[in-house]
Amino acid sequence: MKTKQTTKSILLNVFLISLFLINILPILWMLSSAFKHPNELFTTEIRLIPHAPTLNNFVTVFKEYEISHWLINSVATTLGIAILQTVVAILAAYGLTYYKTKINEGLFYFFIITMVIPFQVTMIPNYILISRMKLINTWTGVIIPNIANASTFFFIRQHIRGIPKVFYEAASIEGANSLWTLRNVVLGICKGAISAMFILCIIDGWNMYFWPLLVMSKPETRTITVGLQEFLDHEAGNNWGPFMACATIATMPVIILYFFIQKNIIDAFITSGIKG
Amino acid sequence: MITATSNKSKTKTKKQYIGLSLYVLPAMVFFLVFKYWPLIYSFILSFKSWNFIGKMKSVGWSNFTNMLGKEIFSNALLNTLLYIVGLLPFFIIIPLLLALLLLNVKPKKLQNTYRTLFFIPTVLAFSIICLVWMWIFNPSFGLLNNFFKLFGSKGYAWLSDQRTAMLSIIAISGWKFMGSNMILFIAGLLTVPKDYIEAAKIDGASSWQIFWNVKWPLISSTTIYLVMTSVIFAAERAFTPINVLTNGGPGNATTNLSHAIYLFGFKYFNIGLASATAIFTSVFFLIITIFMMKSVGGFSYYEN
Repeated sequence: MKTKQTTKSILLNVFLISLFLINILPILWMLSSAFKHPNELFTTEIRLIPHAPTLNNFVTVFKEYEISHWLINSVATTLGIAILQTVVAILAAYGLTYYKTKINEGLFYFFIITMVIPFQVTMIPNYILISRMKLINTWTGVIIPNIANASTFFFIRQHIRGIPKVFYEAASIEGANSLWTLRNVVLGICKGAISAMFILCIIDGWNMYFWPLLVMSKPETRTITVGLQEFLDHEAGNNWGPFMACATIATMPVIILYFFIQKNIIDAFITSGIKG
Repeated sequence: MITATSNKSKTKTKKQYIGLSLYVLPAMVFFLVFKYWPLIYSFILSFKSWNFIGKMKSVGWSNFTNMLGKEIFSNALLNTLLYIVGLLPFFIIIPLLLALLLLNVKPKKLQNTYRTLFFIPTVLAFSIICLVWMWIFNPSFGLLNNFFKLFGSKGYAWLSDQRTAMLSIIAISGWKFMGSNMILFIAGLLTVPKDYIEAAKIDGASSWQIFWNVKWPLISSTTIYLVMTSVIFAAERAFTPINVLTNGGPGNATTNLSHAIYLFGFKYFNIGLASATAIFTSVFFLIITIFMMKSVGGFSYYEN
């Protein structure tokens, strides 16, 4: 009985580990290709560890492409979106919990229902709006249409609502006003959840592709996800090495960030979803 | 006395309204300007003829009739339905099986490690990872064909062959979201009360019976949520792999609704046609959402 259980468990683990290796293979292949010489890259040989690892591809990326611009643009727009999205959501979620009026439920639905508006419907009007505001090719143009986000609001509201009433009552007996209560009570209790949401927003912002593709049309205003497409504009396979180096630079921060706080991220993801 | 208290409570309610509006105001502004206004404006634009610069003209329903006659549109609609069917195994069946398997892993720590590892593709930028896959699918030097060549096969031109292009996009999307959907299934399965399972075991139910009669009905909201996500993915988010990998081709073999909107709007500058297609897509979503919500009981305001 016992041995049967152990074999079963070993088989299960072997299966899961091989599945994981297949799952991770594209990422490993990206890393391996980033360090390969062109003559090793363009072969039919299958080799994960390069014969002669080289940093040439990384050097090319920094010399011939505007990658530093792209990185700065990505960092700026990502931080802008993550900060504003979280702050706006916290304020609204807190207001809806702290004050009790007849319109609370209506307001809640007013925000939440926007989850089902497809991006493609808002895309063209928002593009027209942003260009009328003369914000094409600016960070602001990428940031402002992405501040309103129903799932971020929903997630934060769920957590703020979960705070027991006694905390509010204690604060109000002390004569604290709403802002004080938000700063010292609510943010204190929801710190973990809010920071997890913030990181999810950062990952989403960093990975955003469609909107910056429309708004950032000049080579130097592109974000890293849009800029990366440039490697393949020149047809011919010669740019694959530098591309892999650039892709490594663009994805590694996210993977590292993920491993630091993976548990919180997964929990936040389960409640709010990722936009991809 | 009565009037005094009612006056007092009136000022109190007024205070509540003022306080609430101050906190909600920023969100109100952003949701109105960048969500609701575009929705309305999209609707208006779908009855206009415009190319971003010239004069806007009202054209009645002709954008819609035009749309129905376009080959790109009919291909996009058909492909969207094909994507929905094709994604089902990757978005629902495999993740559910994996979740059931993973919950058997002991100790708990190891189980969590697997969870963390399988989630990795979810956090990566889809647009970037698609290009990595493009290299893997490269006909002459890609990993996949190199592998096939070991067995004497010539391999395929995966992304430019009408027969394999859509399958490749489905496989890559499946790879990207398998782990995250598995995690959602695990979360759903963990909410199934242990007593139910114990009781079923005492009654002598087999593990299949336990799954089918106890677990499956109790995770229906997760399943429905994920079916909805795959529909949304097929119509909308598949834009990224389509635009990066095949640009809708060969022919229109891989284009979907969102990609068609993009082509109409930003390649042919036919804003009316693009908006009409966008409105069509929203109605498509709305019908599916209402249908799904009805079957789960909706987003509850008070509960949970």
